[in-house]
Amino acid sequence: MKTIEAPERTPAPPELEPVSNAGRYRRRRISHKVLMYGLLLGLCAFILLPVGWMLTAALKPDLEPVFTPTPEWFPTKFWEWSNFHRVLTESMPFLRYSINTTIIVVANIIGVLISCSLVGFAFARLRFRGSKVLFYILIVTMLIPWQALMVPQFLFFVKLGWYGTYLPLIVPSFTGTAFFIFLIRQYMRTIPKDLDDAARVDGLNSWQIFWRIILPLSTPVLTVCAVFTFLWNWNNLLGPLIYLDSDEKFTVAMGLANLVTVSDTPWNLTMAANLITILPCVIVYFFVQKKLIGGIASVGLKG
Amino acid sequence: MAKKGLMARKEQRAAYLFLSPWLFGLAAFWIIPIIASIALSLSEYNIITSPHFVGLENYREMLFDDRTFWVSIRVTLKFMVLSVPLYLVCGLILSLLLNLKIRGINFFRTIFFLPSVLSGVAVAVLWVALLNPDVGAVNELLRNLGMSDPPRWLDSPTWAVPSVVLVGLWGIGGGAIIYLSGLQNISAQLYEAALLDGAGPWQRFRYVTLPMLTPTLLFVLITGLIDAFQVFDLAYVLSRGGNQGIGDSLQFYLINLWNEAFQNGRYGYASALSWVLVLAAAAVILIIFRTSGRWVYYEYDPERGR
Amino acid sequence: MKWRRVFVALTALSMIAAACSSDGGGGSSDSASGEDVTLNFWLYKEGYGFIDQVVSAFEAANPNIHIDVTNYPETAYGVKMDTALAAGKAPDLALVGPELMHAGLLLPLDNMVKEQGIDLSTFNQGIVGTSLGPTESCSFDGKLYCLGSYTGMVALFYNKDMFDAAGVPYPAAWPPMNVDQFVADACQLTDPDNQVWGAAYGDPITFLPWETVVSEDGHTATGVVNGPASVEAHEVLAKGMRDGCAPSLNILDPWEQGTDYFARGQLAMVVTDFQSLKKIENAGINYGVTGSPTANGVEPWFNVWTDSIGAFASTEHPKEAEAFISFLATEGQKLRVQDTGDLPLDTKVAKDLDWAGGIPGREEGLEVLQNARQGVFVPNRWDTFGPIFDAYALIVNGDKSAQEALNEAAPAIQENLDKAWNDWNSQN
Repeated sequence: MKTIEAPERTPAPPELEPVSNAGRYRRRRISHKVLMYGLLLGLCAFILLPVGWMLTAALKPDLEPVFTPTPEWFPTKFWEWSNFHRVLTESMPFLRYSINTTIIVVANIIGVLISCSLVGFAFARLRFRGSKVLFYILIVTMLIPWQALMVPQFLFFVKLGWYGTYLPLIVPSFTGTAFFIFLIRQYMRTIPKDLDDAARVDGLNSWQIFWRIILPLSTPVLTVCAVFTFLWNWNNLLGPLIYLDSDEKFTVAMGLANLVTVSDTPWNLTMAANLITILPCVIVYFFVQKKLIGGIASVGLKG
Repeated sequence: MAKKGLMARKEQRAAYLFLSPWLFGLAAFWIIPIIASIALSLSEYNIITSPHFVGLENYREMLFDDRTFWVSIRVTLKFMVLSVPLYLVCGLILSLLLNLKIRGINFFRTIFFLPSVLSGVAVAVLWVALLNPDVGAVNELLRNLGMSDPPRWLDSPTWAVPSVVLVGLWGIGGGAIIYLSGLQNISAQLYEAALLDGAGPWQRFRYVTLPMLTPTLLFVLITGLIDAFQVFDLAYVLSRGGNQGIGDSLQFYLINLWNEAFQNGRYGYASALSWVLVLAAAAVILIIFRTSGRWVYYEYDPERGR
Repeated sequence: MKWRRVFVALTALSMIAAACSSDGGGGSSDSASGEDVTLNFWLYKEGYGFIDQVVSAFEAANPNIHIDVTNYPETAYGVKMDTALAAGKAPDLALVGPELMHAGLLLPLDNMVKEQGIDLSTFNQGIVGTSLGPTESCSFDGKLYCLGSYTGMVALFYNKDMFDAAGVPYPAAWPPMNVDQFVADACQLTDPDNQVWGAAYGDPITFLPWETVVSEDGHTATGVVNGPASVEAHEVLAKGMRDGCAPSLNILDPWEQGTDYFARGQLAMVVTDFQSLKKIENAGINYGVTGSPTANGVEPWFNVWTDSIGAFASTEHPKEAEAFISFLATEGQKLRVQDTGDLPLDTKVAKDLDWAGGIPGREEGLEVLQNARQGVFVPNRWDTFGPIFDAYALIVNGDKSAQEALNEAAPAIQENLDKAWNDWNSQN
């Protein structure tokens, strides 16, 4: 059986390389770089200053007002690192909640990657009767506000006997999420048709085209799906809230929400807790970023 | 010809196999709740006791008796008009910046991603403090820059919705990665060809990047519209969980829906509200899809025989 | 292929994990009395973690009863309760409110009170006293549905040293000041050079008697919310903020931050949660207590509440649930005083355990408490009266006079009120 040649990798051209003579070229290049860095750093301030405020708040001792008349962007007076320790040990069974949340998150990522890539591929690159209608149905399911479906779906899962378990929080991810299916469909449609044609000429069937050609080229969009799934499930409060009823199964999001009360919320601890919970997400994202590069741009097409 | 027919049928069967997880999910987890939701929209239901049937009364009340319904439509539309174009353009620009192959770009990307990771409550507390009209940082800055009467943000009927748009803009780095993934399928050869033709950076963007990005743009447009229709989490916490802004200025459609459902004990009415929303949104999105053929370019386009 | 096998294995593992964890939480086992019983108890953290101690003490006294306490986020508690009730998964014990009483889902406790010989006459009448209509306390429609371990109330703390220094006479513990006196004192005590405000208070509706804004039956706002008492009170209080005698609500939220500022000596008076007295005592402030200010011509009133714990009628173990509530209302109160120092629900317990301990501020607090009475019930009161918050902001900013702003707000409030009562009455 013939195999498709693994396409060669040629790097994409840097976006900033105008064709002109050396001296002007180098100066243009440097001033462009300075401009870009400046812009990025400026925007970063917009992002980071509020986070700096959170850190300042997190490091304040208990009786110190957190919402001060002049906002404090950076910690200057108070350095109560013990707040972080307190959050981890006293305010909630952090380790257990984290393990629970990780189970849910990982299961969801697996479910989403499997189901959405399959369904997305069908919408993207297969011809079949009813594709238009089914696609519109897909979009319409995105339009239904979850608040409306929440109670009927909840009662339905209760009837199935899934109350008090993780099943309602995990199983649906194995049946596809419209948002990701749509995203994957758009992405896969930008992969040139020539690859398909060549493959079919070689006698490959749909599954093989999917598994061997399209899926490997789809790492960037699958990474996006994984990252978003991670985020949504990590922060999801309402799902675990209505389906779980025993403290041992609670998630980090619930532990965080428990800190906030109508009166007397310990804001310094709440901010510290939030900062702790974003760490795993940030770390995961930082390392997973490499996978955002892929697709056709980093893969040359031979003839 | 017979071979083509056979291949088409094989493709058809394969397609339905690929679709099966989703079709199964629809049948198992969606159909019954949807039917139930429609039935609930025809009843009065306070969740803790059984519903009782009232026919089309909810819909009648919504259209003729409910001032808040129309207010919520206005507020939501205002948000949509402001946010959708803004997020679309800013997300694109940001993603181009984050696609630069300069050193440390990974750090920048992670930093821009941070806001999306923070939980809603933290973001809200943060921004309510920052947007405080009297002592918040934003207005302090504006006063230092010379503005004598800066907007009163969440306390002002005109600036309340823009405040929500602003906070959403802060979190746009998360969505920029969608564009980033879209940028990955633009072939290097296209850029090389453009360079050979003497195209400058703007022209390369205009004639190579942008057209190839249109599928992603369509996605962002559609999902941006849906998000605008369904604004909830951010607005809920920014309006401090209940008081819907001065003079109902933060009375978004889904916030009204939520309050009807869980505060007023009228889940049936809330269900009716949600189905009206679905109809309205479906109409808008259908129009967009119909007209999308004119400006979206797919490499693989069965509808166009490509 | 290797990855496929890994994926499949991980999938299987996650499903097994999910299935294994579905052992059904804290379900209660079958029992006749004397056999092992497990009760589910839901609440949201009131910040003191005290309930665990009561539970331990109760379990020690009743070895065959085990209580499973689960904490839910306060902001989402209502959603959890509603969905669980719809699914028939209600707990045995929980923090309860008027909606549940109105829906007839709770166990009336009157018989239990009689059988256990609990004397409610010394309990805070604002909470257990019977009244004509629904309330936010524990009595509803003539029946008692919950009890608690402590009394929460809105009170006015004042700094006696600051009053002495400015030569202002102390207010009596009871009756409380009216708003004119309150604001006048505040302006005398304000010291901008030392960054001291005379007073901190929230929107008037949060501490004024409800009779200022709504009729006694809770159905009419027009004419009351823009009536003379309300208008005058709003005008005076807004002027206090405008003149700088009190910080505007954007600068300081008395409920969230008032205590902290008072404890640091930046406020001479503050209208806030009485439970804050521990923070104030820890800071060593020489404080006094009086009731929250009232409007002219209106009988003084202040908000009181408790950790309203009730039992569901659907519980399989009513006797055991009642036993716990009874324990909470008797032994539990003593534990509360000893462990957290909070004001108990039963003033007799406060006297027996010498809760006041000779501290004048606490004695004054007790004196105020004697005058607790129930408030007017309004369904969804804060949302229904939403427009009045906006009106107050306009008055403070000087954009409108009090009469104008309230005249404009009155129809909106009445509309909300009518709708709220409609919705309330249509629930069975």
